[in-house]
Amino acid sequence: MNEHINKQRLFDYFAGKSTALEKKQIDEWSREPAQQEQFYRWLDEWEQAHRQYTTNLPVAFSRYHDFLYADQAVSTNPSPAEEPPFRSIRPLSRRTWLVWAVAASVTVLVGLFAFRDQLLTRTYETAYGETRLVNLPDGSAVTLNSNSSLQIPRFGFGEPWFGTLWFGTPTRQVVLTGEALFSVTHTTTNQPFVVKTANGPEVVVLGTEFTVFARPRGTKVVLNRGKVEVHYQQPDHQPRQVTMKPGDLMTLTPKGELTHQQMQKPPANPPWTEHRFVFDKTPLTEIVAILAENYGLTAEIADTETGQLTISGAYSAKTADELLRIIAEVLNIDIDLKSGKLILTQKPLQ
Amino acid sequence: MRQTGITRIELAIDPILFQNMDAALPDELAAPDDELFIRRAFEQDGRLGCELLFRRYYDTLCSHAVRFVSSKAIAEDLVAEIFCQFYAEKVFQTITVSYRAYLYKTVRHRAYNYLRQTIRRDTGLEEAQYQGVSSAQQPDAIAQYEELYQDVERAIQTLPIQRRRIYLLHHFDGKKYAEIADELGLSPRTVEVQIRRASHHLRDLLRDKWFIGLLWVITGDIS
Repeated sequence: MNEHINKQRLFDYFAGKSTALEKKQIDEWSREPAQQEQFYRWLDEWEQAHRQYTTNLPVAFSRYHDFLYADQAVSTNPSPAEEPPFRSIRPLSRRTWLVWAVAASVTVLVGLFAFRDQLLTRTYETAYGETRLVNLPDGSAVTLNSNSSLQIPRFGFGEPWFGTLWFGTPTRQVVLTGEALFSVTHTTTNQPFVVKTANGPEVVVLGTEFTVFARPRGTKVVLNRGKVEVHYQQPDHQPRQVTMKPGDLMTLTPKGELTHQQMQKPPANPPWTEHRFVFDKTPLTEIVAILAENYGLTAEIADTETGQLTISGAYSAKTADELLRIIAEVLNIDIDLKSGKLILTQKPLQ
Repeated sequence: MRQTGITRIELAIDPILFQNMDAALPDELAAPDDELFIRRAFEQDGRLGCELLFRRYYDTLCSHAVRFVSSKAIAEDLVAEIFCQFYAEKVFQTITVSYRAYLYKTVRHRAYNYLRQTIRRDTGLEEAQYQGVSSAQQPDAIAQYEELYQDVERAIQTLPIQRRRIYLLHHFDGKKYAEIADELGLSPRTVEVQIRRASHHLRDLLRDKWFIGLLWVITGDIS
C-alpha cells in the first residue's frame, strides 16, 4: 500500500490539482479493491465540501417518498417469487413491433387535468405557436398543438408488468393539457390506451385516431376512425361513459354539460397540424380565446357588438400576426396596441 | 461512526494533524461502518432505509453527476432514477459494498453513458436519459472518471466567455433560449447559434479521447 496516499492527496486529485505522477499513483492505488471503499468515502467528503450547486432536497425527497409509498395504493402486487424482468428502458423509437394501426378520427376537447408530478413520468411541451410530433414507444404518435403538454410514464410504456407494479393498470396512459391529435396503435394484447385530462373526461381507446382539445374553457373530442369510450363525471359526481363512433363530436363544458353530435364530414387531420384555421360562423370572442391558448396573446374586444362578429372559411396562418391580419381584413377591424394590450374595434362603416 | 466523529473534530482544529492521522491508520480502523444506522433501517423496512439513503446522499450525488452532464435537471433525474431502481429492484438485499460505493459507481456509469450518447450522437439528447447502465465500454478503472469530468470542465473553460456563459445558462440552469436572450439583451437566434457552436466544440474536444475505441489511458490534459 502506498503510504503517500492520504485524504489531502485525494482531495487535490478530485480538484484536478495533481501532477501526472500523482495521478498515476492514485490510479494504481484505487485499483486495489481494498482501497475502493476509502476512495468513495473521501470522494463523498470532498463533494460535501465542494457542492456544485444547491439542490432542492425537500422537493426531491417528497417525490421520492411518494414513489416509495405509491404501491401501497396498488391492489395487486407481483408475488415475491416472480423474477422481475431486466429493466431495459427503450429509447423512444419509431419502430412499431406489436402493431397494426387502427385509426379513427376523433377530435376531443378535454378539460385541463392536473396530473400529479412523479419521478416516473416524462412531459413533452410545446410553446406558443409551436406544434410538435411525439412518437411513443408502442408506435403511437401524438401531434401536439401550441401551448400544450403531454405526460407519459417514463418506464415500461405499454409493458404489462410495469403497469401492474407502478400504476395498478396497464400503462398505456397519458395526460394531456391543451390540444393534440392522437394516432394510437392496436396492440395484440388489446391493451387500452387512456388519455387523461385535467378535471374532466378520460378517453379510452383500443386503436384509433382522434383529436383531443383540453383547455380551461372546455373539452372537445372528435373521433376520426375507430371506437372510443369517453369516461366523465357529471356535477353530481356520478361516473358516466359515452361510446363514440367515427364522425362524432363530443363537447363537455366546464360546468359538466355534455353534447354529443354527429359531424357531417370530420376532417382528415385537424387544420392546425398544417397551420390552417377553419372557422364556421366562429365569433370573434372564440378567436380571441384561440389566440390566447395557442399564441399566448391577450386581446380585448372593444364592445360586445364587435365580439359577436363571426368569421367563416379556411385560412392559413403560421403566426399570431398572420392570423390577426386576416381577421382584421375579413372583419374590417382595427387593431390597436394600448399599454401592452391589443384592442380590437370595429371600423366605422363608411 | 466514532471514528468519523473524531476526524471531523480534528479537521476543525488542525488539518495537518489530520493528515498524519490518516497515514497512520491501520487497515481495520480505516474502514469504520458509518452506514451502520442505515443498514439497520434496511433490516426493518426497505423504504425507511431508502429514505435515509436518499437524504444522506442525494445532494452529493447530484453535485457529482452535474460535473459530468453539465445540466442540473439531467443530474437530478439521473440520481432520482438510481434511487428508484435501488428500491424497485431491492438492491439493498444483495449489495456487497457500501451503499455509498454502490451509489457513486452507478452515478458515474450512468453519467458516462449519458455523455457517450450525447457526444457520439447515438441518440437524441432526451432519449439518452432513458438508457440504463450498460456494462459494455465503460472505463474500467475508478480513477478514469475523475479524468473525464475534469476534461469536461476544462473543455467548458476553453469556450470564449460569452459563449460559455450562454451555454451554461442553457445547459446548467436549464433556461430557454428566449429567457437567455432577454437576460443578455441578445436575439434568440444568436443564443441558438452560440449554443450550437459551444456544443460542437465540446463534442469535438471530448469525443476522440473518450468515446471512440475501447482503450482508455490516463494521458493528462487535453489541449
